[in-house]
Amino acid sequence: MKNILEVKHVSASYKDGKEKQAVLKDISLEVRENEILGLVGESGCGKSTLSKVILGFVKPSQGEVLHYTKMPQMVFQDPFSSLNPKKKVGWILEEPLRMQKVPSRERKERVISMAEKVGLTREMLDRRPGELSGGQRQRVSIATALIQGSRFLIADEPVSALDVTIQRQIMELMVQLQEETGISILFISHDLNVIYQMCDRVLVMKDGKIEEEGETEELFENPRSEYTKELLKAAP
Amino acid sequence: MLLEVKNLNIEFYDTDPPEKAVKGISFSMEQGEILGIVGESGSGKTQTALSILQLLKSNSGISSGEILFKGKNLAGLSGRELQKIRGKEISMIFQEPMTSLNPVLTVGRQVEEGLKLHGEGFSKEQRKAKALDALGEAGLPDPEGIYGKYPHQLSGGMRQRVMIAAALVTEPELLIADEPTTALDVTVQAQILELLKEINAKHGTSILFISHDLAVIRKLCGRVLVMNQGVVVEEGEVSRVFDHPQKDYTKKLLAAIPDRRRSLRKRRRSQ
Repeated sequence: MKNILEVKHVSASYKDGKEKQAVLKDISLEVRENEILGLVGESGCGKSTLSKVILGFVKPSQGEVLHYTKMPQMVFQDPFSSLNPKKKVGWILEEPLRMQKVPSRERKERVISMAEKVGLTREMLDRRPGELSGGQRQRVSIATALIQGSRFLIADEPVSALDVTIQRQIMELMVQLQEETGISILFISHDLNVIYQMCDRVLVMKDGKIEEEGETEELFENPRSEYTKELLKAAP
Repeated sequence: MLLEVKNLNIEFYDTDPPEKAVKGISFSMEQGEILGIVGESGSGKTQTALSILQLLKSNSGISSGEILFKGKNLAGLSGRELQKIRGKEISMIFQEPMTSLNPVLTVGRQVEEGLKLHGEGFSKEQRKAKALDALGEAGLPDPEGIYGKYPHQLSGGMRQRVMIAAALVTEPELLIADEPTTALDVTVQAQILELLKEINAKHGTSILFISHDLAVIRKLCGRVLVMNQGVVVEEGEVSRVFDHPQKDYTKKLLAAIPDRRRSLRKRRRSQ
């Protein structure tokens, strides 16, 4: 299977006053074509910084990040902060296409077909993000990411803020879209059970390092690292 | 009976007509019991919890019903009368201790606050001794060291332990806990749940535990109320409700919990 992303021996640090705080320590990983790769860890483990390094927002002090496809699109925990509150959903979905100079008619068609794919009704396209529920907003942000034809998504805690029944719907939607389109998703979550249900492979992160890596079933059934065992035991 | 809630109605007044957040719910708690209330957002679980100590925001209130605590109707008490119960016989802890702890006061002062308020003539030394005991019992490793610290110097898990110490220093009979582990990492969450269990076992403190997280409820509680849109949908022993849910809503809720039994991936399922 081809890789669409390779992270090689990446280290990164933040400045904390005069001192440098190492956040990522010699991280190597690859994201393959057509997979959901889970990245799990507790707060402060560096998982969100890693996504920023991949996107180029944080410069690694060492190592390199190799992209074999267009830059990934992000889906965040709280889509409210990434969706323009003043614009209607239809306009928001059209915007990336407008920037790519797609003709108006084609834009409209693609918006409608994408809306359908993610389970948004036509009537919702006329609403503003504030008039949608959390689950519907997350559908909009997934649609925005996919409409540009990106083959790689980074989803950072995309279902953590949702009620459990809505969470389930969004998880099912992401799995279904992945299986239909064969895109790759780097799925960041603190929730091991969500990771178990969604991902093909899993990386466990702790203190800026990859603690363990493996196929989902294998890793959950036979965790090798003490930390993974501890996490599995603590997860309700 | 420790707590008896009878036909409780809570309304939001900032809409016209007022929106009903809680629609005539009734339940009761025995001494020493850990009762869970589980529900999604908008279920009314938090409003129910807040109403017991009259902590509802000013845009909402109890429109009818009774909240009997050891036979006394809390819903009918004045602020002053309630002050005698709040933080003494009934304490409450919240999701984010950072917002309920005072950032400019030391941990020690905040833990002692309850003892001062309900002044039973403890001397300064006695108060400090009790605060140190409470901090130790809340599982904080170095009570003396933490006593003089400020909340921002502590981790999230330690702050939640400080909150628990402050809530328990007056030895309340009932602890109301509103999503107290939701903002915590899973390993810390597991420790806090363990701590609550210990406190319940050791002192017989009754706990009303509010959560959106069914898995957490299952770990901690003996009995559970499932709420949806202001009503109690189902009620019973945790094992019965989880293993043999009667109502469709409960079934739907349980089916949605992420678990480690079934993957959503067709590809993996077919392996």
